[in-house]
Amino acid sequence: MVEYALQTENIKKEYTISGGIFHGKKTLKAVDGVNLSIPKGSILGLVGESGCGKTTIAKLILGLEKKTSGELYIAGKEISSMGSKEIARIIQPVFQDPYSSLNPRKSIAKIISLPLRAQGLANGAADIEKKVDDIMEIVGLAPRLKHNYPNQLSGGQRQRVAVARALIMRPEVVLCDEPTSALDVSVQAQILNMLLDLRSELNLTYLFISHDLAVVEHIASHVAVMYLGRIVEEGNAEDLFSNPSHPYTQALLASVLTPDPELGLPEIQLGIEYPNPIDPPSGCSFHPRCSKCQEKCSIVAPEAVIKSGKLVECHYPDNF
Amino acid sequence: MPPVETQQQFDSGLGLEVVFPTPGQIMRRRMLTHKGFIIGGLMVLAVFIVAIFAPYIAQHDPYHQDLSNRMITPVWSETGSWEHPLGTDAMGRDYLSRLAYGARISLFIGFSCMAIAAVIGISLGLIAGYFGGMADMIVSFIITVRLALPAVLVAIAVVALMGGSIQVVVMVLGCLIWDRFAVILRATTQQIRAMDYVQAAKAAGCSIPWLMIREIMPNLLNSIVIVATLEIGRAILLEAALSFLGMGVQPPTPSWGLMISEGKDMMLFDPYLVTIPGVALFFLVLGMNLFGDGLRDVTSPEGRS
Repeated sequence: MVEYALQTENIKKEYTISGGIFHGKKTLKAVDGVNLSIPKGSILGLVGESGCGKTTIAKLILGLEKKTSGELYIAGKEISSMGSKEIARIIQPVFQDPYSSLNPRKSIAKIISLPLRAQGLANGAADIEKKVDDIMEIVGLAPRLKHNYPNQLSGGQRQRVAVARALIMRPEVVLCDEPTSALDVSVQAQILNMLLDLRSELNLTYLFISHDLAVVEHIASHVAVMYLGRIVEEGNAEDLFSNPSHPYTQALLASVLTPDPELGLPEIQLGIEYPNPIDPPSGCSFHPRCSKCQEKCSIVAPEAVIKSGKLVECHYPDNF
Repeated sequence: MPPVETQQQFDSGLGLEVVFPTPGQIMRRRMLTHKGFIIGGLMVLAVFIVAIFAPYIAQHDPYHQDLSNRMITPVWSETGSWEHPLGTDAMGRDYLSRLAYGARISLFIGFSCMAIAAVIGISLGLIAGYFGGMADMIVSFIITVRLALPAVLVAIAVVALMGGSIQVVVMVLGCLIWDRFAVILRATTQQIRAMDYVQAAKAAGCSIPWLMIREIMPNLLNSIVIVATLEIGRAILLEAALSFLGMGVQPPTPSWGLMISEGKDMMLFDPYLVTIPGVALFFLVLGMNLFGDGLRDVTSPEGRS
């Protein structure tokens, strides 16, 4: 029996948007029935366009937002039965932009030790200092940076500080919300390799949110592709990248830029722009952009089917 | 993996280590080069020194009336003498002594009104900005109501009911001038609340008071200090206006506004009775505003100058 660090069952998050006095209220389904399960010690990559609901899922899991319905288990416990401190001890985030994720008025030591102090987990100042020293060594930060401020650090160093803050309480799950997309390419690889090293060293589970497919391919063991609040394809990273079944996944993979200028810009089969999530398309929400769209697609929403070991939400996963 | 240290310090080729300054160091450096900040600060400091050393500066009792020595002109006029460097008023009281003790009143009123206003305005602004939604609507309504009331008119009405004294003036003005605090803090809190470091602190299990006071407040400090200096100037001017109208500090207390009011009847023949306290008032408020403006430049992240 596989032990899951994180499991969601049909979770939904809806926001109510007021359309002005004359239009009444509308609901925006940011997350519309998502099932995810992350086995302990694995890395799940969650990919999708901007606005598809990746970050909303992150907020739900961190307890920063309350889900509308569905169930969300963290280390086997339902999230609504847990206090914010209990959630914080199990799951910690690393955010995208290390320039806004560190409080500019606090020293590095203060930033890293914040979770310890907030939880009251440390025994006195000496204990905090020792734990900060330990974690700084683990993430590869020079001890003398302790008394510096974030503005004195480079982007890569800042992101290491953010990782140190996430790890100081030794959580089980680390939720990385695009942790490398604000960094230089050269630094990206360092941070990614550090995250991989830390995983085996500290036995961590990662939920890795990104829109950079190359990064996800490098790091993830499982991948879930998200479109308009739903998971449209999920499976083993190798299978998914070598043999994508959903037309959206195919289009995403086709859109990756190559370093070879001779190849030119990739031709993407996603004609029109991203649909308005307040007013989603009928049937399969992907059908207006789908190159293989059939009559049925605009009427009936597809159920998830198992196709060569992956879960695919498409009527015609073979039809290409 | 070795840490990346190339950005932190680099060898300039001269064996010198270049280290990025801390926010405090940057601020101190900017302070020393900002003219408005230094001049404004010195002006306010001068008034402070006068207020603190008023007993040594004043050669006479500011309350002592000497009718045989009334309306002596200042030392720079033909009939002036060093006995009364700034002359005497219609009651024969030494004008320099009254001016020096008046500085105490002005500063006391300025700072205490600001303190009351800060407590009210900061709490309202933080609550509205942090919680948003219903709390924001209620606070915004209170702010709008406050802005619809003309401060001087309300102050006059309250003072007319309760009688004029320093305590009443401080209370009334303090409860009237918090609007700028609330408006500015509401907007800045909204901005900062959305920052990732607040989200990270929340995800670390910090309580709401912790988030507000330890994570958000330090980033609001520069706005608070800037608004505070401007509000001190505003409170001092309002007190002078109230005292001039006879609704503020009561005679014989040496308030600058009251001195202008008492001198206005003799203004045509002895203009010094009005100009001297007027210039003092102008000097203090100008200093305060220059200082506040400078402070904004000095503490702003991008360092406008």
